[in-house]
Amino acid sequence: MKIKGLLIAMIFCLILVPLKAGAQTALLALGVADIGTLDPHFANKIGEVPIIRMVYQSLLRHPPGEIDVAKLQPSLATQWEVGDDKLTWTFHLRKGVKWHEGYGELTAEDVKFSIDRIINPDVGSPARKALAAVDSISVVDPYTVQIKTKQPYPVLPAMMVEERFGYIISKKAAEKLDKDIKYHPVGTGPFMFEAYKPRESFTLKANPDYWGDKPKLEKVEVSFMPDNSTRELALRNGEVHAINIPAKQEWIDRLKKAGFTVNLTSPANMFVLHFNLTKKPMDNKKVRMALCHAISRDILVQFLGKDVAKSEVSPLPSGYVGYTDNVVRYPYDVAKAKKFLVDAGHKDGFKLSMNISNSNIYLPPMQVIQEMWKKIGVDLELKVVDHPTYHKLIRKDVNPVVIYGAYRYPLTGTRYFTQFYHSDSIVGKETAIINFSHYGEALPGVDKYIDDARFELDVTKQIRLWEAAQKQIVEDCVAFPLFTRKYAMAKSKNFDQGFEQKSYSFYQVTEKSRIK
Amino acid sequence: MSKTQAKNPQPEHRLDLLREIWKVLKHDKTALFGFIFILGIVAVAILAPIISPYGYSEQHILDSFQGPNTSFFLGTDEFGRDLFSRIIWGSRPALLVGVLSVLVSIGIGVPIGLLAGYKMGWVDRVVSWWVDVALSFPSILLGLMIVILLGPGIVNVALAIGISHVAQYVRLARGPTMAIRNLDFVMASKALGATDLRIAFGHILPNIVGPIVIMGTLSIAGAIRMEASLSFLGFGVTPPTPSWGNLIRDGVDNILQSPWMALFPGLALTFSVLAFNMVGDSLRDMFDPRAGLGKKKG
Repeated sequence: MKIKGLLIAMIFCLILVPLKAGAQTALLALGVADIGTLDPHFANKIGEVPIIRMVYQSLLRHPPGEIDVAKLQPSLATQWEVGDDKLTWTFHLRKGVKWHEGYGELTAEDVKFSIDRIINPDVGSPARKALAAVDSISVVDPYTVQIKTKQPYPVLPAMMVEERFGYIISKKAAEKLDKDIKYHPVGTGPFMFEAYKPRESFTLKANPDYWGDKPKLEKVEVSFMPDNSTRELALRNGEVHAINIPAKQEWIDRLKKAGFTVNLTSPANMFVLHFNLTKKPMDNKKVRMALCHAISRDILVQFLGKDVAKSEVSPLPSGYVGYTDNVVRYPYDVAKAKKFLVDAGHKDGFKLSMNISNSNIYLPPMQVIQEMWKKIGVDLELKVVDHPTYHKLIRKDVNPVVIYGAYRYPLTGTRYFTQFYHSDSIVGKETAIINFSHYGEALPGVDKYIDDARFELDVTKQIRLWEAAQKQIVEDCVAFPLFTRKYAMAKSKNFDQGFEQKSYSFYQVTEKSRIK
Repeated sequence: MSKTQAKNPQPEHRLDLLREIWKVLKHDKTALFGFIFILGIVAVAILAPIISPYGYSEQHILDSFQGPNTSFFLGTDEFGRDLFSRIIWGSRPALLVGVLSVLVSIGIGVPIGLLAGYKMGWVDRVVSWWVDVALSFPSILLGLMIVILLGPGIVNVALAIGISHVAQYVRLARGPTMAIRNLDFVMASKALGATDLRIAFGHILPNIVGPIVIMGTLSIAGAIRMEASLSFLGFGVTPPTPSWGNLIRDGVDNILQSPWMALFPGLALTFSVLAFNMVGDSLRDMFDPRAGLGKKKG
């Protein structure tokens, strides 16, 4: 009797799953336990960004599914131009764009409110420095705004896109919802807020008043599934249509073989080892050189997979404006590395201890490096901590070595160099960003190149300055670029996005997307 | 137990116990098998550097996720490390934590139990109340809390497991102590002017060694399991040092890629725990008259 009941319950469950998937509902699963915030001027985590992209929009946008500064398209603004002074940018807004949930029509006031909110230090958006060039923003009429920059700033349109520094929010909604906006997004996009279950899921429904084509999907449900195997099983069992996966060759091969579509996207994070110049023995250049010569990037790339990773040699990722590979190399050479250690007075090697995140983007590559360093007598202890703790600790300047992966839109030198190598960005300072090596203070550094390049209008001269910075950083051996690692995601064949996913950390869902 | 108590609790007592244990092993094939298996694990742990075909952290990136084959007996993991070698080395933290944590439990728990049982009165009431509370609290949770407090690492894990099992030994020592404290030979020593300390450790303790040994053997199995649990949760040894728990965890992370990565360390853990339980159960049967009778009848 009991078994019969159990069987009936099981069959019932089995019937339920396909029923749920049959409707025009896209079911996505992301590898996070929960979301921290959906405030578009703050959020940047893997669980948050895909949701925000469905709800919020910006003045301009990239083509769906890819990041390409050369292909900017109109979004909330239909036209834009710069004045003769090269400082005043005028954006003409799309008419008849409605905010979700009856917050009225999008006007120039909302745009001014949003940009002011991003650059206001009291609000504290991490994206503030990305708009450092913005001087003021003014409303010309309800459908026209003007942004004035401090200096001529040709990349301004490229900043008004679907990123933390470009999202437009509703003034009325922000004032009414106040802090609730963190979990109750109100935007202009094709999908709008329906329900949020903490540590479980976030549900969106189609926006009936969307200004573009009517969304083909009725609902999008984003589930939070931190465990990789659980997510893969959910995809294989047809419980979800798309998941993000670890960017490793075996995952890609396995899921492709099982009949799923796997997308590898870029621009992606470049991973770099930053040596903390204030911690012994990292203050000794010979020690740093020894550690660099002991690392084989080829082995690291083999470990991650050839489709996923490519090795990097310069502190600016390959493909960025200003990139040069004309820098000093520290090729893999154990004998040379040992010799440098002897010269540095560490004939028998030394012990080193660092905190490391348990995240699969940091821990496994660091274990490969640990084994490589062992060959030259450097005994690296890895103290495994959870991911948020790692980020806290490295900003408290406790690690002698920091591994950090980053990409910085819009793929030029300015933000990359400023954040990692400018002395203002040294961790522990009030103006700190992510200069973990204390470069620019412990060593003279490249502040001058970075500052000059920021204000340089001649693109060729700007590139020369960035090249000089790269050469100097590698020469000083303060950071060792390892590899760029793409993002990886998999989806079932019946999930048709309506475009190809080439960029971003997860599948984008737009009004064109549907379940076949 | 009553047999040992009746005898004069003097030096030959230790020999007596060993002899009794040997007698059990000789008659009980299950226990003997378990005992030999334990000796085998100990030998493997000691000889790990000699018998493991590769270093436990030696990576062969090109040979990652191999199934069992001729060059890698049990296959390899994500880094191309030899699973067989890692399981061999993983026996070290298992045994070390198993034995160390039991010694910690005994070292703390037995003196407290002796004190409570011997002194009685309010000391006993306070201790008993605390033991009741501690025993009703899940030990894995308590261990987890302690190890978070102390930080990861093998010694800390041993301490955490040891401390979380102290209450059992307090209870174990307290009962017999209360029974023995009123026996004639204790009274006699008292009359001869022996101090409390001498009576507790010189006269009472030797009489409760038996139950402690049994409990210890059984606890080692539990401690090995708990070490694996803590390692599985990421609180054990730091990478790249292998322990069965973190090997299983690595295996679970890659279970859809190569199932044997979780299977083999799981088997190692299961058999070791089983071996300690086999020996422990037999010893309990010997010392516990009721259980022993039941067994003979069956």
